[in-house]
Amino acid sequence: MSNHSEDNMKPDQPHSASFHATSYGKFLRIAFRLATTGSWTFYVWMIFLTCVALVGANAWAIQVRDGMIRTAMTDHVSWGLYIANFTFLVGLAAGGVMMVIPAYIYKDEDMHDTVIIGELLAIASIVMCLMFVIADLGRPDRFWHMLPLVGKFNWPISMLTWDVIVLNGYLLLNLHICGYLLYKRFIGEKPNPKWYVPFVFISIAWAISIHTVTAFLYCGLGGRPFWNSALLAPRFLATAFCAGPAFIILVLQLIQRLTSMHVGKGAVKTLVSIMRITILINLLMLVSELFTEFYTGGAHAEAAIYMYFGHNGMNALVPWVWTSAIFVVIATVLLLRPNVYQHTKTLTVACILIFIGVWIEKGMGLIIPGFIPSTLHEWVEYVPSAIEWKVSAGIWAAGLLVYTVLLKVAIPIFTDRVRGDS
Amino acid sequence: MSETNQGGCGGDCSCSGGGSGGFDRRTVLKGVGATLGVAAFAKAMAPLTEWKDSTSVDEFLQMHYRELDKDQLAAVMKRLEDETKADYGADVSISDVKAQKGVKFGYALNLSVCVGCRRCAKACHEENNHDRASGNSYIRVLEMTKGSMDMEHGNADYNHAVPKSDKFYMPVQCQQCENPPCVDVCPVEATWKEDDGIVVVDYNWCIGCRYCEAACPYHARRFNWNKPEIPKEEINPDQSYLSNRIRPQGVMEKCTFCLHRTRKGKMPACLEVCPTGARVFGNLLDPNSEIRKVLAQKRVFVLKEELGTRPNFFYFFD
Amino acid sequence: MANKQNAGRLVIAIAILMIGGIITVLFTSYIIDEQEREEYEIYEDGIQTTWTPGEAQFEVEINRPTGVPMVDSGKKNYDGEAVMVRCNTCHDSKEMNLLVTSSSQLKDFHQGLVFNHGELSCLSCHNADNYETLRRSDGQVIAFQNVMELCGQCHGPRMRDYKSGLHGGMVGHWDLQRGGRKRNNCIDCHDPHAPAYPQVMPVFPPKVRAGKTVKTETNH
Repeated sequence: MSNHSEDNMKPDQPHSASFHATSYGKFLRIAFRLATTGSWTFYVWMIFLTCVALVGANAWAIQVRDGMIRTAMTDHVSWGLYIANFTFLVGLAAGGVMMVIPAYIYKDEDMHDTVIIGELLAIASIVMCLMFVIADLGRPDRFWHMLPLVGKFNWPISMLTWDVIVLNGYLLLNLHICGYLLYKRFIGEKPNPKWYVPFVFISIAWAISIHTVTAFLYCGLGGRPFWNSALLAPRFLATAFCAGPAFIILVLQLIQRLTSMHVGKGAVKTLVSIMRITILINLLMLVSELFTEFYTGGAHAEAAIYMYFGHNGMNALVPWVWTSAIFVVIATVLLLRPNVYQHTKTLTVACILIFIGVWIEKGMGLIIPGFIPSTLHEWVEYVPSAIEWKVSAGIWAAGLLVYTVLLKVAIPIFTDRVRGDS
Repeated sequence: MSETNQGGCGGDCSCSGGGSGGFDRRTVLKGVGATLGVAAFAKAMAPLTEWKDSTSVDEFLQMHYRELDKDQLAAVMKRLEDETKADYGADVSISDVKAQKGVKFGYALNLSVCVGCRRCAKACHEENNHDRASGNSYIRVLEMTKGSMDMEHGNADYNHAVPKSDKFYMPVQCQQCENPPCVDVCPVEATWKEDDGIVVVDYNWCIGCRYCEAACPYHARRFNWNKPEIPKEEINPDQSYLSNRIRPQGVMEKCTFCLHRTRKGKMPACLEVCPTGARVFGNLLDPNSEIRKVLAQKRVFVLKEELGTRPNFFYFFD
Repeated sequence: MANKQNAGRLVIAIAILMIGGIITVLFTSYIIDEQEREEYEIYEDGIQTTWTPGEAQFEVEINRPTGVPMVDSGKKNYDGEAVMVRCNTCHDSKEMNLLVTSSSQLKDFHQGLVFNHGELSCLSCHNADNYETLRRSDGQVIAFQNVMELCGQCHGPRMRDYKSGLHGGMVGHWDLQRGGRKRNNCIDCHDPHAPAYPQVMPVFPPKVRAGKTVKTETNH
């Protein structure tokens, strides 16, 4: 969306219901066509994602049939790769909205162009979150037990019900904002701020809430000392607000290369400054948490010691967590380089390192040590099974599929190359 | 995500009426692709059709235990008996024993006497119709080093003549907490605390998210990783809806102090089998009960008191 | 770019959001707290409420030895069964050797008996006037069926625990209105000559899940 095209747009005007009925139908029709038409690269990419997603679907179906015994989880480590991915993706969804804050609060024009990329990422991430939760359920067929009215919803006591509310609310908010902006743009009108600005502000608060509530899922459990830390929610937010921008910078670079959409330098610059700050805050919090654990010692430190150094020859997590630590530190150093946003290669490497580092830190590095040692101090290790890897890869592929389609529809509309009135 | 840079509306999108040959081939290819995709999806999801056999429409639509009236519950229990007959070949009777007024169960365990023989864990396994292959039991016995109450120095996997002179033994099972964290966290109210203090699970309502298992500080909850397999002749036919009936796949379960026995006035299976008489069970509301005498005469403690769960399971030395 | 006004707007927006969040959280924790408080009160009352159990309809039965003990003669009868003899078979005519101070000195029928019960001697419990009875330290003769009385003379606190139901194994009903109970006698579990509970092999090794076992800690 360039300023030039904005000037061409008609102001928001009232329409009859029948106008909306026809033009919204046309909008959906064209969206479908945009989503299914593209270059060969596009088809190859989509077919690849579909195949991976199908492998995941098959693995999940087998898991449902045979039971969770096909996973490597046990009564000692009762959550694994699925919940690890879920936690990370909640962060990614929250981080997607980091673009919105400067765009709407600081009226950063360059960010306006790219805000929709972040909001679409939030949608795709939440879709993946919900899929991971369903993959983790022992009885997905009983999902309806959670629905209000027909089922039983243990609100407000269970933090999980809060999480269900905030995640779905966040999904609806972002669907509304993106849908409204795209449709308005499609019919060639200026969006009416009344219909989206309040929601944008709500979604900013909501983005913080989804990750806070997800952290509360874990830190509210008194029986798990590794999670039972007040620092968990702030750390979640800090990591989310560096992984989210990192992913978006990568996407922006791809968009720049593959489409005609103009990505303002200012957008990347703002995102980099956000990352510079959040990653340092995260490192500070990590260090203070580790200091508390290791200097105090005792039962609280057992899990952290296991995670970083292993325990009696059991060291399944050691390579993971050191990879994460090293990646994050290298990325921090790279980001400190002056004008890093002008050095595409350095920036790309830093973003990839941050993304992987945070994925481990917020995933395997957070969920698994909560269970090792167990509450009775038994030592049972966890290494994900093939089925778990397949399902996780499938869900990621499905999420990327959703994101690709969303971008594929949104970009031509936003660059005014597809208009309902032309 | 690639948008080719051709002029006109939407580049190569077909609305622009580009070359009709390409248009046709493309449509055909898309059609083939979509068909293949749907077929592949159906194939990928095929295992679900096999799984469907092990569940039923009635089970799917069944309401929460506390919303079933007497007749509905009777119908459900009849259905479960029939399913057990069909799946396991065993004739069992599933009942619904209600909590008795004026009763609140308490359990105490004498750590000076326990020798760590694990017969309680075995009795639990048999009484509660656990999956045989998993060797599941609601009781885990920890071998603890004398001079420490720290469970970090405990070990459940010992295999030598017991009791060892420098060790003591601590069986841990559900503490039937007064303030159970596992009940708070359940998103669907599939687990709750009954009036007699027993924390139960509606196995037909649980969605299997395992949040309660993460929340329990005593490792008291178990998940059915697969459909339990038990030889017909080993099935305990005296079953109740909320306790030892054979659990479905993919749901949580836990110790209920054998409520199918204790609500009929009997002792729990783990107590009866204890060769050293380390266990004391009874009604906390009856001032003359043995359990109340333990509380009055012994110095008792509870596990992880600092967590505020307020267990109804007490340990003591004498 | 962000001027002062915009920054001020940001601060206000964030402040409002945070206050909203805090109010929600406080409200929720208040609801949860309230619930817990109620439960607590019920509990506190509950434990003080006296529950009148009604008359016990069934009895607590304590196991008793069936008769006088017999000693294996070491011989077999025609059916291959061990021939058991009563104490008086020999002791009617034979006085015991008062010089015996340890179980290794025992001979004949008593050879091999393990004795590990403090500083006691045979006649601390056995009655030299009638070997088919026991004798308390105050001289009172006790039948073998009432052996617990003999144990209780030294093991007072344990006896008190037993009487309160805090010691000893049992089967049956906790609720005596609905069924009886059978309790063990001292010598059901404790060998009077070596009362320490013997070592046994544990049964039923713990598993983590089907196909998985616990990794043992080796350094303890």
